[in-house]
Amino acid sequence: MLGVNTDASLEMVQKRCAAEGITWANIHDGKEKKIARGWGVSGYPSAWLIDRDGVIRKCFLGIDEKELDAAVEQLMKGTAVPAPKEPVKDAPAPQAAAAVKDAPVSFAAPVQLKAGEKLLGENRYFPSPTFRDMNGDGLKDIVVGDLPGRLTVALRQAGSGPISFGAETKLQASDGKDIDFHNW
Amino acid sequence: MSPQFVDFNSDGHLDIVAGIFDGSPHVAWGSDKGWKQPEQILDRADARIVLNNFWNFDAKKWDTTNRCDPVGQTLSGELLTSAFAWDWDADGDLDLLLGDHTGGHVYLRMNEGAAGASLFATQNVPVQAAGAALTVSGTVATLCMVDWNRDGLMDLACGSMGDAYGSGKGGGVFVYLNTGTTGAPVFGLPLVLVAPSEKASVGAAERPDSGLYMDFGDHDGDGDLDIVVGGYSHWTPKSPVLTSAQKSRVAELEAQASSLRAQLSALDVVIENAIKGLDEAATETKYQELHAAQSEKREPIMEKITATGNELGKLVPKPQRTSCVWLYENKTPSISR
Repeated sequence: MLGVNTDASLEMVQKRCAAEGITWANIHDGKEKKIARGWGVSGYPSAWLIDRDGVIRKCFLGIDEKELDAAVEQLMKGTAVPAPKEPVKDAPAPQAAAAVKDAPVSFAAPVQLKAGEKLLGENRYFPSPTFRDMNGDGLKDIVVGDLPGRLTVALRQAGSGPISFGAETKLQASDGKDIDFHNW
Repeated sequence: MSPQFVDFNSDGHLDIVAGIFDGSPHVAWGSDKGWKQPEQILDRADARIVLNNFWNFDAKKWDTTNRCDPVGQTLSGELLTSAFAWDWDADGDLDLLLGDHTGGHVYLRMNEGAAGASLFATQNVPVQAAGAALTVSGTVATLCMVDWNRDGLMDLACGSMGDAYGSGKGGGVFVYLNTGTTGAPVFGLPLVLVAPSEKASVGAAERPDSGLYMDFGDHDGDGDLDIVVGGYSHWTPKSPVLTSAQKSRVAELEAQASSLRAQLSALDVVIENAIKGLDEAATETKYQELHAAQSEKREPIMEKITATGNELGKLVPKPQRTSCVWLYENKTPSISR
């Protein structure tokens, strides 16, 4: 495994490697970001899985660990990892790489949020959540919009246990009707 | 649409701003009494703010215009479905960031008025990233501003649609770090916060795969930003191991389903042939008339299709597409800077 780091300075690279336990070889891409430009990096992190013959077997924009593990496992077993549909030389033209100040991010596996007995936003048409303290109790409630233009509120329940919300209620306008962003 | 709670007219009350699928941004004005029903946000010429495509409420059809194209550009097919109010140039009033559902671009609509007296420009300005037009992988579902790297400058975050209906790749969540200054944002390449999905979960929904709408907040008070993400999960239930009798039954049911679909298609062809060449109004009338006349034939076929599908579904589970809201808890180690 070979890493290429586009942080602004070598010192920053060293800090990051120490903080994140990165023990594999890392190259600092320097101010001109020649490697990032040459490889057509369009976002961070990006990764390429290359087989023993030097053939690029898979490209990743962002890293889904399960997906990466599965692809590496397939390759190690000798089973085919489909080559990219488009040859790398035909990949979208690289944009100029810019210095990225922040760390690669790491999240716990995503969990479905519950609102009362149901999942939050369950079977809504493109549910769109927004944090907002709706009742002034200092807790971040969640307002969920959807494609038809309706809004619901799930109030965050107090307590130190796992995050939980009360059942969703429809957000109403001053006319007493549900707020309706009246889609077409 | 994703709602933004913001004091859009500087009257001390929170309003709700949202871009919706009619192609325009809307606002529900807040007051002591609550929120009014939403209305369109208009530009300084009292015209709708759009990209290209929009739902024409008068003609009751999709329409298109180049009225708002950026200076010197002629665009086509771009559709606004998301909007976020933010003071781009730090002049004290709120400008609008507009997300394009079709091509993944982001546009700016400058407020040429003042706080409490908005006058939005009549043309869009493309937002740039790394020296080119910002183009979100998977096209824009939603966008917002957030200081992701805590450097005092607001960064641009986008959730992408991905392929919500077909077999293509899903959406992701990206943040374009602002390397400019207050009032003059400059964006580079995005950090990928949630990688675009392969839509390959088996057995249960594992993540939101397409139509990713997100917001940021420190939900657990640990000092970092977590993400809530709404969207569709595309997953396939685990198939049971079938006996040879069940396999035979599956083959029977599939043949039966195919035959039933052919019968429906034959009925459709009768209608299609009868309405060929008719004008729009006559087509609608004739279609309804013939459809009603076929109901005695159609209904038993539909019932059989449902029953066949239900039985098949128990033996060979179908891919699922379910929606809800997920929490991504930030576990990034902190690095001193």
